[in-house]
Amino acid sequence: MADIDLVTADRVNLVEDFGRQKSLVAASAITAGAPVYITSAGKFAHADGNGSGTTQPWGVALRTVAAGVAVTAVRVGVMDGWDLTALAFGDPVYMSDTVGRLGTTAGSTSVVIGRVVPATAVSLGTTPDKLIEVDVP
Amino acid sequence: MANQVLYGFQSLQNVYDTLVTEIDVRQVDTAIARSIAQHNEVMNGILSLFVQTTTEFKIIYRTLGTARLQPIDADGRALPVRGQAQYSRSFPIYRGAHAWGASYEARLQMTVRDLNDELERAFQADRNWLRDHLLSAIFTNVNYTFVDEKHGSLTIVPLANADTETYVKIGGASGPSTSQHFLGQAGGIADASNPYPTIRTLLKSYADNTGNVVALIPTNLRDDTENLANFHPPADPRIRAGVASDTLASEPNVQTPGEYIGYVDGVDVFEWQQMPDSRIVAVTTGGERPIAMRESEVAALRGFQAVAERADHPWWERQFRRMAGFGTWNRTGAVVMEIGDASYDIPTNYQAPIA
Repeated sequence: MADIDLVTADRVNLVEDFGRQKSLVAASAITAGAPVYITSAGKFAHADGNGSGTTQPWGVALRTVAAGVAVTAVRVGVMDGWDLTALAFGDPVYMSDTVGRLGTTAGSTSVVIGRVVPATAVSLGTTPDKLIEVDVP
Repeated sequence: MANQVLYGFQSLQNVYDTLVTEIDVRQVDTAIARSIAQHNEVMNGILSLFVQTTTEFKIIYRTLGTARLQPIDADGRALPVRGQAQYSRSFPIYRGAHAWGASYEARLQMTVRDLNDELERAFQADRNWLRDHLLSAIFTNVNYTFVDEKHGSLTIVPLANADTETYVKIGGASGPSTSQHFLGQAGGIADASNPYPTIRTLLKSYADNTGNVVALIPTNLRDDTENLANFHPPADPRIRAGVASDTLASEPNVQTPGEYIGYVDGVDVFEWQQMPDSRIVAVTTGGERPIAMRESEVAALRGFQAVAERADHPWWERQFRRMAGFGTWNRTGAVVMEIGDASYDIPTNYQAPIA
C-alpha cells in the first residue's frame, strides 16, 4: 500500500462537477483530498480502510479545514492535485489504511474511490495529465 | 508575463482592474463577441496562405490537361479536345473544445483583466489546435481514411507523393506526369546544398501555382539559411547601406505566421517557431491553395465560438468549440523538404489523423 501524495499540500481542484457534493461541519481537522465519511453526529471526518465505523467514505474533501468549520466533499466528479505518476490511466484509486489518505492499492477494507483519467489540454504529442474521476460507491 | 489586451477589450482598458460584476454586462458581452470575431478574422487571414475554405466533404479538383494544335489542310477541322483532368478530393472534419470555469466566489472576484486573460488562453488553445491540424495535413505523405458521420469512409490524399495521379507542367510540352512534393536532402543548408532553388523550381512548374514563393522554416534552419551567399535580409531602416552592398528593396505583402527573415534565390523566407525541426514548407502566394479547410455546412457551427455556459452552483464554466478539418486540395500547391535526411519522414506526432 502506497499512499498518494498531493502535489501541493492542502490543494486539490474540482475540474468537473457532476452535481454530487455535500457540505457538512468537520468533526475534526480535515485535509484537502482526504476521503471523508459522515459521523454519527452528521459531520465529516477522515475515513480510512482499517478503522472501525470509518471505512465507508462519502466523498473527497475539497479543502483543508479545522474542526468545527464547514467543508465540501465531492462524491462524483473529476479532481486534480495528486501525484499520480505511479498509476496508469484507468487504474483504480483506493481508500488507504492511512487515515484520510488515498492509496494505490486496496486497504484492509477495499473501497475504490475513483480511477485515473486523462486530461487532454496538452501540447500535441504530450502524454495527457492525470486526474482522478471520483465516484464513491 | 502580461497577456495582450484583446481587440474587444481595448475600450475597457480604463476599467481593466475593475470587477466584471461592476461593469455593464452588455459591455462585457460586446467585448467578448468582438474579440472572438477578430480572432476568427485573424486566424482566417493567417490560414489563407495555405487554405481555402469549403463546406463540402468532397469536391472534384480540375486541372489543365495538355493539348497541341492538330495538323490540318485547307479542308480540315479539329476534333473537340477534352482538356481537363479531374480528381476527387475529400476532406475530414474534427471538433475541438476549450472551457474555463470558476467557483461562485472566484467568478465574482474576476476582473476585466482576468476575463481578457482567460479569453486569450482560449484563443491560444484554438491557434494551437488549428496549427497542429494544418501542419498534419501538410506533413502527412500517405493516404488515410476518415470516417465521416454522414458520408461514410472518405479517402484523404496528401500533397503529390509520386502516386498514380499525374499533373501537367507549365509549357505542357510533354504529357502529364507524376510528381513528388515530399523531398529530403542529406546535407544541411549550405551554398553547395541550397534547397531553395529546387523548391522554387518545383512549385513554379505548375500553372495552378502563381505569385511569389514563400517558405516557412523552423528556428533550427534559420542560421544556415541566413548564411547562404544569395541570402538578403530585409532592409533595416536604421542602417544606411553602403554603396557596395545589395539591399533588399521590398518585403512581401503576404499574411503569414512567423517572422520574415529575408529573401534567397527567389524565395521569401519566414521563420515560424512552431514548425517542427528541419522541415521547410513552401507555397506560392497566388493560385489554388494546397489545402482546403472544411467547416460545417451550418453557418452557426463555423469558426471559433463561445457556445454555452454550464452552471451548477457553486460551479460555473464557459465552453468554446470549433469544427474544422484540413485536407489537400491542390496536390502540387506546396513542397515539403526535410533537411538532414535524404528520405522524407513525417515529423513526430504529425501523421494524420490527429486529435
